Amino acid sequence: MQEFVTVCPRNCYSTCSFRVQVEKNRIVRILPDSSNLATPEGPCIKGLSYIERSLSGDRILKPLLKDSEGNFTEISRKKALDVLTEKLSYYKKNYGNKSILYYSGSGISGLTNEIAASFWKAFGGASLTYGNFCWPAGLEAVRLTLGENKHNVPWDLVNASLIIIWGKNPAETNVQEMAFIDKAIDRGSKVVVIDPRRTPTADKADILLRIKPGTDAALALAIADIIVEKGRVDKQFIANNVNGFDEFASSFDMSPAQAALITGIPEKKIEELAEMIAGADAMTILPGYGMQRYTNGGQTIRALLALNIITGNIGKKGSGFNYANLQSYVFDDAKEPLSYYPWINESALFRRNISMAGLAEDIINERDPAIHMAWIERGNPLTQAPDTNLLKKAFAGIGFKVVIDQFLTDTAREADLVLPAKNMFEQADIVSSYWSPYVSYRPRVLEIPGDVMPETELYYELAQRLGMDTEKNNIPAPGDENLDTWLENRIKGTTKLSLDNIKLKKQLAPGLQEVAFIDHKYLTDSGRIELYSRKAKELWNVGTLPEYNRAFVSENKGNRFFFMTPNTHYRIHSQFGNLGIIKKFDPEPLLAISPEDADDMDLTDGDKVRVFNERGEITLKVKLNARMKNKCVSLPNGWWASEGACGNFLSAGRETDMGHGTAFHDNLVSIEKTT
Amino acid sequence: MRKGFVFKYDLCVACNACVAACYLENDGHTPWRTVLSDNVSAYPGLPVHNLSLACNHCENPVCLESCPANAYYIDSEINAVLLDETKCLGCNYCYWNCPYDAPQYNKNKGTIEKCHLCMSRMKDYLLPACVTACPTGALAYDNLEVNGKETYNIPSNDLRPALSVKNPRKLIDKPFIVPVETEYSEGKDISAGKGKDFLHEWPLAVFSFTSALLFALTFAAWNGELALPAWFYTAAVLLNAFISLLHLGKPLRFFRALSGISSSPLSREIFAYAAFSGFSVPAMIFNMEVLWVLAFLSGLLLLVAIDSVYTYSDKRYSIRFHNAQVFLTGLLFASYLVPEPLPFIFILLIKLAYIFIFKFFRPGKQEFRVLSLIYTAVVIYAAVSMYMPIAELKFTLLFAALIMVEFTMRLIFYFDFSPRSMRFEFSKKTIAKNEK
Repeated sequence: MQEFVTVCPRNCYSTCSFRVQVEKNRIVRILPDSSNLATPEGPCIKGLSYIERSLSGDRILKPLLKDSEGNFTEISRKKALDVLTEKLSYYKKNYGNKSILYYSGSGISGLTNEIAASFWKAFGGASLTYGNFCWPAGLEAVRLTLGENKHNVPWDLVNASLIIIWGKNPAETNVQEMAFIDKAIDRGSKVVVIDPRRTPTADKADILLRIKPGTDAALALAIADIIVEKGRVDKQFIANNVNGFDEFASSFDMSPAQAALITGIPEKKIEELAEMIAGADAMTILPGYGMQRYTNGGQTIRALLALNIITGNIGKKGSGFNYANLQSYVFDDAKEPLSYYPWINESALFRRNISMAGLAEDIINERDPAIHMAWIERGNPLTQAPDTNLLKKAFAGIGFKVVIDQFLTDTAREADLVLPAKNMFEQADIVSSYWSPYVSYRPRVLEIPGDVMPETELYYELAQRLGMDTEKNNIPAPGDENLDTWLENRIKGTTKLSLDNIKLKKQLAPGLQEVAFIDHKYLTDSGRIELYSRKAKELWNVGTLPEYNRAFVSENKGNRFFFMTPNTHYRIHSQFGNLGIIKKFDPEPLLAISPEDADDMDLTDGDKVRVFNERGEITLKVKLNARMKNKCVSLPNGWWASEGACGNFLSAGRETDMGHGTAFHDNLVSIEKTT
Repeated sequence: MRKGFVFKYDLCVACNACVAACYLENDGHTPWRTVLSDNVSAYPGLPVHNLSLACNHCENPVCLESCPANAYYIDSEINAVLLDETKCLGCNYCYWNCPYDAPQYNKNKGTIEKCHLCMSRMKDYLLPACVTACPTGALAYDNLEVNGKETYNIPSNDLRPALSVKNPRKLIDKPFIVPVETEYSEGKDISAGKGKDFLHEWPLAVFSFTSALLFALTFAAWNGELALPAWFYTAAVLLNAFISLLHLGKPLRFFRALSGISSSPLSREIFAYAAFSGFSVPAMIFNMEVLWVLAFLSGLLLLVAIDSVYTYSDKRYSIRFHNAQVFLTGLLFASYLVPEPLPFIFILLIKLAYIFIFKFFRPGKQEFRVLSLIYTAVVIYAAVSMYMPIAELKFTLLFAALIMVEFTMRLIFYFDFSPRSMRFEFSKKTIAKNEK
């Protein structure tokens, strides 16, 4: 039996390290790696499920080609490469490079993903997407204000005396953080949760404020107003570090009474919370990513962050605004969110005007050339992109679609050619985290099964067939040594790290600040914290100051429901839910509804409902749940349509107010009982 | 120092990693470990506490004690209570008796299976999979004494479970929730414990009831009041024994059922049935007084033994008494057949007293009230008719009616029967606390 230390490469805060024991080319055990100070007790239930995932009988191990009747047949690896070479050449010759859409999701992270860019460049270009489904509105809000996205190391949370968990649910989405929260409580910290739902995280809190979705900025501004009014701001900190405080202080038009009306939080509680914040020695806000997926998301995050700024809770122990900690993203030329912008990485070869938020519409509207072929890797846009019906229509208009995946996802089902993807144990890589400060090596621990080709090898084979110079274009040949050489060259010069020391053990990011901004250096234009941001206005045409803008859902009238699609501990987006071990706990999609709303509609557990709006409809069973706020219903993110119900049939392809994010959650639905 | 599971309520967020780890380590099985919540629907007036629970490898294991087949044993090296599945009859009696629901019946195998404390891992110096998997550190395997003796919502009993918990900081406080909005009626989501399963155990209902009937028939035959063909009686005794096997997952292992006689009420019941059969069948054939006496005495013993199988498990009530206990039913039938009106009336008064004092006026049991009234009418009619001359046909029909109503009550007994279960008690306790 061999044992390796590896790292989970999912799009997840925790990025857990864990030990895997391998016997006869099988994962037999997954054990914690206690040397990772952020995840010392090991991975979550999804991490444990890798034991099944690496052997799953549902895994695609041979290329699948769709015949004229729409059925998949297994073909050989050689045949698949022949088909792909022919299609790439055909569309390039007849419609031009830009008729081919290269689309990648966040399914597996690692540096080797960049080899795709080398291939497409050598190929002569392609059409690309810009923006992101997840977090750019908040990233941009923090970048505009603090200059960059970083926060204190996860284990510093124990030093906080007030933790405000604002729209985040770490009990399900960042479970190891709960241990730090618990330790902080032991040391006297208060915990406030602000969330429409009573999440499992809220069960551990002192106070839960059940806010109306999309109105968080109103609450933050009302609190800021009280703190300023009472003169409880940190004057020294503001004088030393902050630009635009006076403008901010004189901009308020949000009284507690007004905020109470907007948010549904009683005035008295708003005042109490303001008092707690003003009186806290060290406050950390843990903002989630859900509330910035609204059309007012970026300005909302700026408003929340303002609370840290006016109270001086930046750059000290136990304090901070823990939105994203990109300190371990040491290899990137352009860090998020900049890398999402259409004007970054532009070249004559590439066309970058299809947005992620408007994926469906932009594909349909693309001209000169239109999109004729699509290449989809690491992603499952048919469940994860907004407006599934429209995206299906857009896909139907694309002549040839190739999808690389481990399982027959909703997107793979729509493909003309499905190529089997590697899993995290079958190829080495270097992985960073957006929460903990580690740069980790993910070794290859299993042989690659069947006809599976890691994308790097696929690109290599295609490059050979298309007559490209792989060496010149920096596309590594198959084999561990070649990949290592590539990794070594890749990181050379970008950091103080070498492949050898990362391989030896995970490394703290060079230049790491355990307490972010402790030097009070801010990479903004002014070099100071910018509460007032001219750039915000210039780039995004929003107010120069944090403000509360009404979200689309504020138009909620009559009998419509806020449609929430929160993440649960059983999925990372559309991954893991298909595994047997997860299905034991979460066998079918259920719509959670508050018992009062259910009573109004005469619904009981297990009744079927039709959930619909102008974009589409889904039918599923309801589950009464007092964790839900009235007039809110939820269906967890990531269910596949082929498993019963996918929430994105209902979501709209709107962009967030800044950062080119996707405002999925700004969404209303109607519900009716059905049979 | 004694080791066991150490659980910290405040760190558990019900992520189910422990349960998944158990499934994955042991190749998919029944839920040996489960995460319970004391407030499943998150009723806003109450806190939510989660408890990850598996076998606690008790010092005085009731599973081992109650097993009729002697299938349980203790591994003294790691202090684990283990089950030899090759000896298990699949009778489920250990499941009834374990308050932690640790023994789990696997339908496919026909036997019980349970947590074995990851023996193979322990021998590799690894902790149990559930413990290793817990991502917050809520579940550990450690010295029990060091970790105190807090027992929030854990039935503290004489089993001496190898489980120590660290109580939640907030026992009754809930997060202060504004706005509360949902006034959710408490108790809606409380499952009714193990009781619900028991109507599926129809062979037991038939066996226990028929045993009472056989006792009465034997008694009546002894008194010359009933002439049953011996072959018919013998066939009934054997058929009844056969029916009792139908509830076993492994009926062919029935011969092991006496192995646990030193401690298992179930073994004793089976022994009593064997003794009763062994005396009553020859008595029917040879009609010897000594056999009749032995049959009568072993019959009484059988009735007591059957009832004790259930009273042993159902520890929820301090008075372990029910109107459909076979002891009462057997004597009622016997006194009807003989017939002796006074004992008959005495027994039926006991039964009616139970029904009307303990059950009839409880809220929310409309069907039960209707059944009770029918029952009362039938037994009173039977009692009155014993003082009047009566045609044989009517006597037989009335006895048939008596059997019907008594059997209905016996089925209600199974519905009421509710052995101790954490699934039931865990949520009930918090809600009771809150109501005070």
